[in-house]
Amino acid sequence: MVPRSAALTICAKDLRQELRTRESFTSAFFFALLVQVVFSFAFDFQSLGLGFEEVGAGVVWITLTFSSILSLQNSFLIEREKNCLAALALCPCDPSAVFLGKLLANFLFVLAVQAPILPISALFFGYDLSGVLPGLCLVVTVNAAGFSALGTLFSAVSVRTRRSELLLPLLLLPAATPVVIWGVKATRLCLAGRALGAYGTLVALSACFGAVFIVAGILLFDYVLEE
Amino acid sequence: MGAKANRLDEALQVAETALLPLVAVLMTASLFCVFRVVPDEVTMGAVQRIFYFHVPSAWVAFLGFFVVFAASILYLATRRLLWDTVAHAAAELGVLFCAIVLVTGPIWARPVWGTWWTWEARLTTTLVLELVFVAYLVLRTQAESRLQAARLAAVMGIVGFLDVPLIYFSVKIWRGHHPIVFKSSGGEGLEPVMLKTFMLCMLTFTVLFLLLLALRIRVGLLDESLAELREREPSAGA
Repeated sequence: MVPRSAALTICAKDLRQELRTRESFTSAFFFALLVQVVFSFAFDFQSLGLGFEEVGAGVVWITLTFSSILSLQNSFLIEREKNCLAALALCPCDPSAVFLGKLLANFLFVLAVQAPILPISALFFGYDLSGVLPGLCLVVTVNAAGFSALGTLFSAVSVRTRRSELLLPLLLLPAATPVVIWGVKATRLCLAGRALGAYGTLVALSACFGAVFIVAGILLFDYVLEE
Repeated sequence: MGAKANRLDEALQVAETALLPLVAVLMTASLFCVFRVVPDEVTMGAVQRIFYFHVPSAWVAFLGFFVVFAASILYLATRRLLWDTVAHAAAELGVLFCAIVLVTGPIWARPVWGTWWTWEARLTTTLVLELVFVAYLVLRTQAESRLQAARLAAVMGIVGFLDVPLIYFSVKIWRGHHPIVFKSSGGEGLEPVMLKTFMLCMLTFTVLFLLLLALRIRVGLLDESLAELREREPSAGA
């Protein structure tokens, strides 16, 4: 099988499974919503007089990071049932195709959760997103790609271990520091109404982060998939 | 233990016997220089002396993480478990020395900067690195077999090290230019006697690292032969 078509097949399989069960989306979406609510209780932005311009970037990124961990985790946990991992490893294609397929599916899941969550969090703050929407979409998409790349690799690593649920956040969160920092900073500039020129470099850096770990994933996935 | 492992064990023991007295002499000389020879720094006073331990610890921690990276690549390329033992040993030492950096830094920062902690680029990078490699060690404990631990840890060791420059760079952008400059950590503009003492401390810590690495690798090899024995005679482990 050509690697590209193999990757697309694996991605399509994950999407089909998700469309039938809606497990990943439902749990990640409601978890994201809960994070927003807890956030509002914890900081009480309204009485502090803080608007979305000031705290929106933080809210968006904490929500994205934590809710994405759920869907990333699920991505390989579903393969553990009935030993599908072994079947994936036996796929007559390059292991990197499995990585790329999983990565694409995870990336789409992260975006699918963020698509409704972003307007909802803006709504909680009474903030009008329409002016900053293109910039915000760009920032979230690029950083979500980097986060998903590292997350897919670590999800496959942690699913091999005894308590994978505990391990993934421990592995992923410190290593993903750069995307979180660049994402928050770019989002803040974007929400403040600055032009793309002000945060273009940050987006480019996040794209580099994504590229580094996509290449690392392609090179290393073979060793992760091995029995 | 096979003949090969035996030879390695002997070589490590020879290295230990050579390094131990060397570390003892160097450490005594370093302590003497730091507390007796070097004058007080003009503005910071006596607390500046912590840098003779702080900076070498940071260097050794980074050296440890680099060894993890190199040994991880060698393990995946050759599949010799020895490299995994080296990576594991170096990761533990890296985490240990990183912890020393994180403890000595605030002790110095409190009187000089007036605060225990500040989210400065170098401090933050050190903290994040510590967390990355603690995760590496936790991952090892969670694996289901020795070979699996070696393989997954190697992947994590490589990814973790690739992350180091990215983390440093991102934190630097996050904080912008910090107004306070470490004069004493660069080695530039230091008094000759301070510089000499500093270099001596760097050497001492490097040799100390090598000694601890040799010891830890040998413990790792002993662990392995014990596991082998237990596999052969399950009752021996009970």
